[in-house]
Amino acid sequence: MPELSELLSSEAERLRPDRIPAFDDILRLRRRHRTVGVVSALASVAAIGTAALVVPALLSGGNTELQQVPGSPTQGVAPDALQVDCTSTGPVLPNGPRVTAQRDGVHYAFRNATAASMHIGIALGGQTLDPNATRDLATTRVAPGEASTVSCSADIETLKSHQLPVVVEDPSHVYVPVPKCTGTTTIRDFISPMQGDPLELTLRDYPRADVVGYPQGSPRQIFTGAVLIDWEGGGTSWTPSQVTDCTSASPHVVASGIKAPPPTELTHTDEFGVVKAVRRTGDGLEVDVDRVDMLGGAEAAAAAAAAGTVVSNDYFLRNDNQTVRTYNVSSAAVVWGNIAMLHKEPGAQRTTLARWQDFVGTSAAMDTLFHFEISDGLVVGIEEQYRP
Amino acid sequence: MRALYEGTYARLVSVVAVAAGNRGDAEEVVQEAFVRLLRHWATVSRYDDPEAWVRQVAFRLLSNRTRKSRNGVRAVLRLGRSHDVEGPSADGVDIAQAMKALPLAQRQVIVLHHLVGLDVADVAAALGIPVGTVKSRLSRGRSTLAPLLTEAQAHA
Repeated sequence: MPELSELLSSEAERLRPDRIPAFDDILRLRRRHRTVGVVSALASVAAIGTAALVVPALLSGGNTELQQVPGSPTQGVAPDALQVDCTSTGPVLPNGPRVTAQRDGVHYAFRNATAASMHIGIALGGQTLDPNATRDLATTRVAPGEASTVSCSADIETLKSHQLPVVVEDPSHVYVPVPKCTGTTTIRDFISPMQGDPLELTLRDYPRADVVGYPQGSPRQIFTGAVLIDWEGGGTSWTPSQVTDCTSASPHVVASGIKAPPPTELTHTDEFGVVKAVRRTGDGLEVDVDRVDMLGGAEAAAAAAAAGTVVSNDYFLRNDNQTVRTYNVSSAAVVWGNIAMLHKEPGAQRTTLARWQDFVGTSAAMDTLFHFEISDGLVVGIEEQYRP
Repeated sequence: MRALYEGTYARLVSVVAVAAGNRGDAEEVVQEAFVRLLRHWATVSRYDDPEAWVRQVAFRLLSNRTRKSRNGVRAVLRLGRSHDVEGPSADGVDIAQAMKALPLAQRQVIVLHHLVGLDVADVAAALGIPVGTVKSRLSRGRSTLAPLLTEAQAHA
């Protein structure tokens, strides 16, 4: 029996086109097709507001986007960049293979130590580097913990054989794992850039959204629970480049009998208390919650009296049980902040899981109460309890 | 870019066609991929393998096309196609029929791994999926192909 590769090669040869269309003809016809597409897309936008999110633009190509770091120095190495010296025999990592993930991605500082032009490569992406030149690059396409390489070579044919492994570390947990979305990706052209923050722009059309991946990276990835949106751009100008369908878990509420005021935004409160710790574990987050009862009315007065105190501000917190309960947190969890987290006027406002992670690492979080909505053992909603 | 187009178009169409199951769809997505390349040429031209970029875009477009086709939303663009495809050989019948039994996702990893020759990690990077997913799709694809090929050849 022939090998599978032989059969496939034979089939590919059978299907090989016998003529190649003129390149100019392709450009001409495709442009005409796209003009029709623009009208269609704009009509959709006009009909359903900013539904441009579902007719995204500008193909990112899926390759490793290598971005020149703005204002990058031509000399010296940023503290958290992987220094890569390109020599005539291949790359050398003078500070070792470890690099710390930054909020905008992984940084590399290349230095061509030769008098020849060098090809440099990070994962699928590559650029050339002039003799004796330096270049700082950053990418969001390399996740902490994933296998990664870096390479440089004067001969592009040998670039791959000169690859060195790189270890991307994330001790501060700046990287939020990107949900594994197996659905199809929608790509459409000719959507104009939008002004604003990608998260805020997304929240105009979706009730929930969170930054995943690198929180300050570009492309900026926003997960809504239903789709994963890649926004390309920077500053205040962003374009939704592609949207990938994701499967979201259906809510399943576990009744727990927690005594707490109803949350203003979450559907249910399944756990309520203060956060004792948040840890990164494998693919996700884990939170330790110390359950607290927030009592009101006569119950609060009685509990306060039993504790030898009086009720203030019409509520009383009771924390009789010191048991810490641990839950996994969905990377798609909806997060609502209030005055403690957002330092604004009282009132729940949507914020991000990344911001909640930052907040719970501060001393202000020690006496901040949170509601947790839990589905199938996974925290799917977090809301800060407003306290006067 | 024109040189890249003329040097790789036929090869790319033939590879994508094996995954697509027909040459027409392959021609359309490869053409579209080259048009998109135009906008990214300044960057992609510096990549190690610009052809891989075009192939990757074509495969993604093929995935989108399949979904739209399922929804009854069919692209209408047609550039003059090349002449009719010759009838398949006995092996061609076997592999074409066997491949049609696979979901597109499995066909894509089979083609990239066994026809293009990418290793598992490169297939994962090309399709934007985890390595484990590539392995499982390869395993399932090969498992499905094996008996079909055997059966088809036994009947030939």
